[in-house]
Amino acid sequence: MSETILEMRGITKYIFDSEGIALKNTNVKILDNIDFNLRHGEVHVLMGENGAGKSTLMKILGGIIPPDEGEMVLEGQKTGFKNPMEAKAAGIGFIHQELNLCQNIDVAHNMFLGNEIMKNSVFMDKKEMYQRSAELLARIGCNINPKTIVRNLSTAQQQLVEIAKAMSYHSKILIMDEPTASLSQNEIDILFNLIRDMKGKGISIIYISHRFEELLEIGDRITVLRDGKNSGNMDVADYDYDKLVNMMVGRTLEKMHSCTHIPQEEEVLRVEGLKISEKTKPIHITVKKGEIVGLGGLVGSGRTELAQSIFGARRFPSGKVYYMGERIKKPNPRSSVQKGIAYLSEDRKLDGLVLPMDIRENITLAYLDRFFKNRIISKPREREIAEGEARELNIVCRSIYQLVSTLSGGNQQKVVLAKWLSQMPKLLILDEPTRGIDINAKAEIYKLMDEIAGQGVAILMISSEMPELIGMSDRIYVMRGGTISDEIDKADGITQERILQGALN
Amino acid sequence: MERIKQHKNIIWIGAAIVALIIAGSFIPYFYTLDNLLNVVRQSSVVAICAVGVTMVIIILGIDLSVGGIVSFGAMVCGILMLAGNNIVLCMLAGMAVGLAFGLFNGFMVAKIGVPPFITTLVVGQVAAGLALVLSNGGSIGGFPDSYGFIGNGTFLGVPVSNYIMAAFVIVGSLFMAKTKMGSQIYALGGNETVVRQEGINTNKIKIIVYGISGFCAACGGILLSAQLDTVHPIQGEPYLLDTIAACVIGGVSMMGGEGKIYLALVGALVIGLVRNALNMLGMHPFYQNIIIGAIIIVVVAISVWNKNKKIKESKTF
Repeated sequence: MSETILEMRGITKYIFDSEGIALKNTNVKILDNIDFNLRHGEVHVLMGENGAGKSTLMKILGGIIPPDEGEMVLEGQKTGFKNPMEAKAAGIGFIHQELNLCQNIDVAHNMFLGNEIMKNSVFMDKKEMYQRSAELLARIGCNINPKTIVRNLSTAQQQLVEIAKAMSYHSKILIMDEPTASLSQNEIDILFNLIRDMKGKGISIIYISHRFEELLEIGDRITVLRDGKNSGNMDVADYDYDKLVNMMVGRTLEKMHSCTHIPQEEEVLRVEGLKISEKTKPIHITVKKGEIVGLGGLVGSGRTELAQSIFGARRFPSGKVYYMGERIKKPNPRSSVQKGIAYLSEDRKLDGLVLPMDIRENITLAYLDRFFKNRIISKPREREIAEGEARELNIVCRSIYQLVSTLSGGNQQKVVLAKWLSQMPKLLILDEPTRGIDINAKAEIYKLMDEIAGQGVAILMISSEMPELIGMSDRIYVMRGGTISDEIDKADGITQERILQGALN
Repeated sequence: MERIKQHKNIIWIGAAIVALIIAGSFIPYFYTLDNLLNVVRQSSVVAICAVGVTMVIIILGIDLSVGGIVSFGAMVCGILMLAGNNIVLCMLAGMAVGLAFGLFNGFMVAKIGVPPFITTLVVGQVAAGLALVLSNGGSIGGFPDSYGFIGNGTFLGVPVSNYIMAAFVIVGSLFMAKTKMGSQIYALGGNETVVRQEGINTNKIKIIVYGISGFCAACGGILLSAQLDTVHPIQGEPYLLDTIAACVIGGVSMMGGEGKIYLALVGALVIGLVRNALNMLGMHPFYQNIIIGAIIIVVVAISVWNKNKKIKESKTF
């Protein structure tokens, strides 16, 4: 284990404005003078909060975006990639988190896409393509039939296909972006064996992950990014949890998630025997006034479906929903909003915001009724409310007439919050409230959640981020397979291990 | 069994054919070989247009210029022919015009980013307008006999049109199944980002696909004029609906990435049979369009409903 295969020096990427022009005169940078090196045959774990710059750094290495400053040295040669093909040709394979395969064609055609084997100048040599695909798959110990349409493969199998594909260009470096995010334990074991195997063949792997137990299992070294800077390296042999968390967060968790609200006794939401689909087991949960209840579990465990069922955005086969002691017979979004239930969806761009509208319109959209006087919108009143909310939430903008599409992720999220808070909800359902936003905006949103809960609002928060789930929740329900697998009270001590146990086993 | 599952639409096509057979047994002469060969002949123009449109729909586009190009390609060919030019050259000129219009569609969609339905709708209208201008609004006809042979002649007892149609379908199917570009067309319909990341020029593929569609439409138009021995500037108009119906009935997915050219041929034949049966029952063509339209809506609704059901079922927790 030994010499360096790749060095990235002083990589800098500036933030850019809505026209894509780099803004060099600000203190905020996406990547700030990052040094990163990779040795032959090591598994180098790249960690950091969402928005810390991991993906951007890897996109630069993979030739997907260019750096503004800095240089890359690959096997002693200075290099730079103009596009993903050049990076690939240089031996850098990239397994993206959202898999890069065409779902509608078969495995072999995917593996040789753009690189088809020809029989003559007109026709492809399909037989050869199937045979070579089978060989490449066999080399990584996988016996998928190359004639299978990719859609019919599991996520794990698709990942194996991508790895086999990357190996077919003789990759020396393999970037894996959160490969285990949607795999079962069994599939993870298969993947890890494969990674060890590749490591043994001298292939270097950059492994992006949030999971501490994974880095201990397969990592050799760790690099942590924070707010676009390299905040430290560590050999896994010298692993120290506290030091690592400190590198990642830069402040202690308690401070970031400091909570002053106190849950009250009165129940705001009670769900009895709700089944999110015919085949899943019934769910019972409660949320009290002024309480933040976390909903943990893996992506796809049914958390969003549960939230949507309560809010009425999704039909469910059976079960009862009680709100403020009264049963809601058939929840639907319109009556839920009127009753004071607010739902912040997982993907704010998809259904939380109207991007081509301005901040004011977005904030007041959900309850326009209040500004109607004789069927005409009262503009002054609308402006007054929107300005008040924008000020209170510290939304960074030129004016409330700025288009939402031009705001940063964190500020967009605040607009969504403002939109719902302006109607004084009694129950707030948050689905991944801090996904993809920077650490400062996160801290502000946490503070805001604490304040809202302090005012007596009941909050049900879906989250995949452990520190957030542990730091903010008074109680946590863990979901698995479409139902609740565990309930953990803050008083009993919430630990990452216990949440994972509930989510995985 | 697996194969049948893969092409669930085959079941629908089968059902449609069974229904037609039952309906046909009430119509005298429906089952004579002559009539069935005639149905194939009458379906040939739709089938040829559908070869191109299938490819366009596979890459998540749509070609609404088919009708206009059918008229205009034939008009260019016909007018040159009446001026006494070599028949083959006239036909090539008509095809070249269709190809050019198709390539223009592709350019607008791929390079400029105009939504396909707008570009092709407008281009179709322009082509139809040019056909009217060229003929001064009237029809032209009285073409050489050798031209008529293409449309109405027979070889070994089978109409020449049927051979031409078969050639288009076979070449189109081979192109899609066996060539590099064919397989990239399917991939492009499945996930454009992935295809682009592999270094494939997706714009080039799109332009070529629309070009092929324009070319096929012009060929269909020329064949139609040979069958009718006349070109009327709006005679291509009905072929837009029938062509898209053929693709849809043949199971080409409106969500892109799925579809087979030989199945679009089956779709064209189903429509041909329906039209033929309705004709023999004495139904006016105006009413026939209503029925064809209803068939498209039902087929699309069923396939979308099936897809949604599948998505729901495949969701596990």
